[in-house]
Amino acid sequence: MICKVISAGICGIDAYEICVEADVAGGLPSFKIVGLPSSEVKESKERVERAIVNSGFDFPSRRITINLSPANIRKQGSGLDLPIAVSILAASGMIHPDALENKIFVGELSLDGQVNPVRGVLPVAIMADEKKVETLVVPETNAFEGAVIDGVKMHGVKNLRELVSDLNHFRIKDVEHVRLENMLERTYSEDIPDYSDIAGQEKAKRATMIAVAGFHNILYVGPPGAGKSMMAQRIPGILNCMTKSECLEVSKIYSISGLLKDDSLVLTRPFRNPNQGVSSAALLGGSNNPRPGEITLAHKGVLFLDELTEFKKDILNELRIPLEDRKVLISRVNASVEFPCDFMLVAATNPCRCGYYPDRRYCNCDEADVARYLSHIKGPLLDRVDICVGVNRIEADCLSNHQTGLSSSDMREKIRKAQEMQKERFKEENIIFNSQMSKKMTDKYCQLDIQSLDALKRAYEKFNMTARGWYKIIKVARTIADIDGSADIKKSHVLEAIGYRNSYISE
Amino acid sequence: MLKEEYWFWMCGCEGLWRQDIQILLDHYGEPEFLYQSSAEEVKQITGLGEWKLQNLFELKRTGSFLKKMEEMRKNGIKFLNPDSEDYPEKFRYLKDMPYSLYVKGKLPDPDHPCVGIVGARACSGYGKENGRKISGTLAAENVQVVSGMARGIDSISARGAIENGGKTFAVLGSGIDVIYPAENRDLYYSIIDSGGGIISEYPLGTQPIGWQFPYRNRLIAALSDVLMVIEAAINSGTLTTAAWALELGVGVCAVPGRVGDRLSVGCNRLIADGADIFLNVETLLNSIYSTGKWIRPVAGSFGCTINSAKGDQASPSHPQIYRLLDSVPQNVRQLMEKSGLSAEEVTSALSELEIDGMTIQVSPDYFIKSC
Repeated sequence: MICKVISAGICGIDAYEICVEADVAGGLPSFKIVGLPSSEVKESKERVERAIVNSGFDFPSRRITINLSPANIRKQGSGLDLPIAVSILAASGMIHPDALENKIFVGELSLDGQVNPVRGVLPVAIMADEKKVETLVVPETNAFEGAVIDGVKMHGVKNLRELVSDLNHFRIKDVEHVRLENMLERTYSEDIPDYSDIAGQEKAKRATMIAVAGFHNILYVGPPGAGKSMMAQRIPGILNCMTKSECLEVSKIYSISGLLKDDSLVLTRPFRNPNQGVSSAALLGGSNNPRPGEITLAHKGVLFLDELTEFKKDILNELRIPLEDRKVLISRVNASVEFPCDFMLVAATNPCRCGYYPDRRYCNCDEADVARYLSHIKGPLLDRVDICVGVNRIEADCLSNHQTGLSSSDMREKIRKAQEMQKERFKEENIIFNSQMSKKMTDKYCQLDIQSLDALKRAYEKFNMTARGWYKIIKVARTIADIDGSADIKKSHVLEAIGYRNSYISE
Repeated sequence: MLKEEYWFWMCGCEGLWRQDIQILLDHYGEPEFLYQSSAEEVKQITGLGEWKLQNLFELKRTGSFLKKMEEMRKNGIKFLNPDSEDYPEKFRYLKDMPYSLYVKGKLPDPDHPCVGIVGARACSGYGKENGRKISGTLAAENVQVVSGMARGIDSISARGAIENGGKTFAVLGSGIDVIYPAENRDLYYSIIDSGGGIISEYPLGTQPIGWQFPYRNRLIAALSDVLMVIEAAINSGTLTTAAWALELGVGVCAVPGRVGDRLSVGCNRLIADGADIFLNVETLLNSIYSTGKWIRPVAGSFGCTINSAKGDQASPSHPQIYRLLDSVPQNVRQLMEKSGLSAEEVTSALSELEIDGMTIQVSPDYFIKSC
């Protein structure tokens, strides 16, 4: 008897349907899986057999053939154990065939029949919703992932025995569905450190606020211990809430990476902080079966690269195209997939090898040493950095007088207003932040008055700027004006933006 | 063969240093007599190492030095020996005068004063600004600037002089055709193009080796009528130049620095030991021209491009911030504290002042008043 069960696999960050067909027929006992299974899928034979037996069912000692279609895509992952087991049980008459209608099965089996969690349930739930499938049968621990998808019932199962009983009695469980919009209305938790902890660095704090408001890439330069990392680590506390679609997109990425925690989707913008030894595959994504890398995990959030010069030069070079395209294409023998990576780059570096330039009390590096040190990051990344700000050593009185300056909540308020202005401005475009403006949009939305234009022209000559530098300054000035609540870009905004140009490394 | 060619043969030989040549000259008097001798004979008479003489007589045998000399001429490099007419008089007073000089461009004009400007390679913003300003103003007053084309103060003062239409001369510690440090390639050529010159006593192709630099410093000191020391750490190469100057009776003038700064120690030490203190360029110029050796050009007649009163004449766009600036670099936070303005106000004020040339960002985020 032939029996069909629907399951799903993951390609990139999306799910696709897999049809698992089981044929249990007479002949010499055998168990074969065809349809381009990868080695983990081939191994499922042993798990499925023992799980069926250990759940108290008979494993049919007949000729069993499993076909996975479409047969031209390589099937990977352990989520096919459950559908294979169900299809065998149904084909040998232990499950009522009607109970399999309109259901998708995903799950890994353990030898005792327990159903173990798998990766990528959220994309499957989204696919199920699109295909109007009623029920998704998943491991119990994964069931929460579909809680925000209204159209799909999430039937969480603990073990195979329970599932067979539920199916034969036509019982369908469901998780409590929640409204994502309510969850995203964000209250900022107390554990994220606050900007009021940082004394003195008002310019850097303001630059950070501007960067977050317009999603500009930012580079901190300063001596060790001045607070570059502190500055970056507080950014999650001032990021705005994600929209529903952003949340689903990010959660999909975390779901296929198996990184969803605490029975919850990713509700706040991610903040990724890979260390300096990160490999190319870990940063950009890769491996045989392409997995998202750090830049994709930072999608819609922040990628923080501390001690930028310590990263391998070729790895930084590889970041160039993803930064430009906001997506990364990974081509491997088996598949070529595209992962999104629309992140805000936050980087920090020392100004020279010893870290103290230009403080000649400690630093003995000459100009050429400094230039050599920074040449590492010069070409690839610097072009994409809109804001460059020094985080300087501060004096003892500044530390002891406890003036806090801008706090995270002040900054959040200003950022919220600036982002509302941007939303209004770009309602007819497909972008939401000033930093994403193309040259055309910059010309359209950023008109400079005569005084500002004059100031910018003189700066252009004086500082030997490039055309790219010119547009960077206009974009940053636009964000500064938004923070000020000003509809027009004023001269002071342009001048301030000029103050955030990169003066460490000549372009 | 010409006399000059005998000199070139003897001095241009690799591995034969000045001391060796002195020994050879002590015995033979003229390179021509040495040329007519043989390696064994020379070895017996002078006791010089065999491989050194082998090199020398190998050159004689192949005659390749003549080709080299031709090539050198084609590249615009002049070769001078003590018998040459235009050998600088100032070097004749040295007790270890160079026997060979390679010159690309010109030599300093003895009718105009020469000021050596030397200082730290890893200099501070204060040193940089002073180097540029002092050399620029001197150059605009027809004073020739001599330095070593090293990183830091040397290059900055050479550039300062060129920017202001003056002449500048660099004495290298490597062969004249070896540009060191490599990033000064543009400076090397602009020194020549602007009417100055590059000078070296080392044979063509000599690599920059550590000991050659302090030794070359004696030539910088010798060429100078006054030696300006801008920033120097203690035990630095800069101080060896000052020591050579003292030995030669060349006046030393040091720019005082803040007490406690590593780079001030050398200069302040020199002042304590009796060097002139640098007050301003005008005083320096007066002391140079008051000797009566030279005639000071009429103001403005010599393409004087530095407008020293620039900062005071034009009214600064942000007087409140401008007033707070001085020659000690300050960052935005310090200026915020003193002015009571916000970060954005100070940042944009500094940008505007910088565009207007009222302030200089000596190093990222640190500003001084421009003069």
